[in-house]
Amino acid sequence: MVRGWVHAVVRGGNWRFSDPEGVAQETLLALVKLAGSGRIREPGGFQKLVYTVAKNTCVDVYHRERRRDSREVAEEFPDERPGGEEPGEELSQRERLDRLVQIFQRLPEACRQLWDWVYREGCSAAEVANRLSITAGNVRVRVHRCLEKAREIHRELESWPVAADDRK
Amino acid sequence: MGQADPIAPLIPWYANGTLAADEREGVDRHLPQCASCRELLERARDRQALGASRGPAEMLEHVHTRLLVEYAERPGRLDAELRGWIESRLEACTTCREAFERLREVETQLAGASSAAAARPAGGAIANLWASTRDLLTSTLLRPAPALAYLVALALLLPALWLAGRQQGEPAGAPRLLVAHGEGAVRGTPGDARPLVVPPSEDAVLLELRTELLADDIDDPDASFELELRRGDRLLWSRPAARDEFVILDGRVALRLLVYPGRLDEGPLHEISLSVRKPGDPLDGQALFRRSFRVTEDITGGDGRSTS
Repeated sequence: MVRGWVHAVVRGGNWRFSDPEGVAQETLLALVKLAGSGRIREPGGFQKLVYTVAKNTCVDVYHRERRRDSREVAEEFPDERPGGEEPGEELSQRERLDRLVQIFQRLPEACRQLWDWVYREGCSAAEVANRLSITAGNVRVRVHRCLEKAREIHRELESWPVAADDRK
Repeated sequence: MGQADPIAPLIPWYANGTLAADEREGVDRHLPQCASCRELLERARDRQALGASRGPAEMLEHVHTRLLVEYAERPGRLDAELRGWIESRLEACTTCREAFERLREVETQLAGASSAAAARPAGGAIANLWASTRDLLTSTLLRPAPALAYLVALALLLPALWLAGRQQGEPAGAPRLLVAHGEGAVRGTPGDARPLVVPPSEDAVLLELRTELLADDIDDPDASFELELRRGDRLLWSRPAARDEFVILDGRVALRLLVYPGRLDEGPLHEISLSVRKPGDPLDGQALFRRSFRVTEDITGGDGRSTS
């Protein structure tokens, strides 16, 4: 039954995957992983969860295959792993960076700007204050509030799929 | 880290090395005894690592998969600024737009499959029993006890139903579709006050309950829905309405329900209603949809909007 739901998504969107069965398997593996983590608790929403996980997998694979088609793999995914790092560590690092991209995209524009100045440019509070024409203390408060917002988003993403169905 | 932790707001600046020496020493002394601030620092360093490898333009180049799926499924759940950003990316980025279009195709096909499942022909008692078993198993997949109990009951009932089916013969053909527009508590639409006419000669009719609800109205995870059938003041049956029974037709929520006229009394007024259960909410117990019907050959009370 679950396979049927997965196939409805994988074969239902004109995705033109090179290996639809592989995508279905990847979806099933993602579901098994979710079940193993004990995060599937609401049987009423199980079918919807299967659809959502399948859709996530389909979009991921779709992007992957498009990148492969346009030969952008090397450009978009440079090997950032320092020599000798274990593959498991690389995966974990990638997952954390992927999570950060998700958080970054969900932040308000003002917070994204602060994030960029603080973490990419390495600005001090005084430099940011100068750019915004506010006090350094105010900058620290704003950055702290943005981090609180980021923590909140992080918690929601961590608790998915349960929270995704529970929250309004 | 409590909200009053005075060190926490310093962590981003500690991580990017721009903190004054005295404040840096304060953070150094605080970190060994504060797990929350250590976690904040770890995240700050992750952000720096990300900032070093990708600029904001790269991080915003493609809408993240989960965000795109969320937007395709329930855009109303996202705030306006985020929706605006996603929409701007869908305009600007071919990859995002194509992925989104495929997601929409999937949504459309799943909705179509759901409608088709709701409109499946009545294949007799055994087929109906199988359909309801399948639906029940879907909702009880992770609750073995009720699923097992149902299977045992099914095993006991199947032989009897098979015999009954052989004696009575199977009804043929798809059930007649009756579209029922109703009134409800959410938007206060008056609906059609005339009772719908359900012909007693039909083996089964498919009542399509057209509510005034929007998709967002049924999204509330704290709410549950219940279908009730009454004859006058008497409750004939009630059952929960699962969310996957709902379909969106013309932008409104609809629900299809098989009714067997032969099992209902001919003549008296019946009423089918869909109500919401949400303790503490003003709408709790209110009917979101209500429509009366009568099993009769007399067509003077019908709304004439039935289709085969």
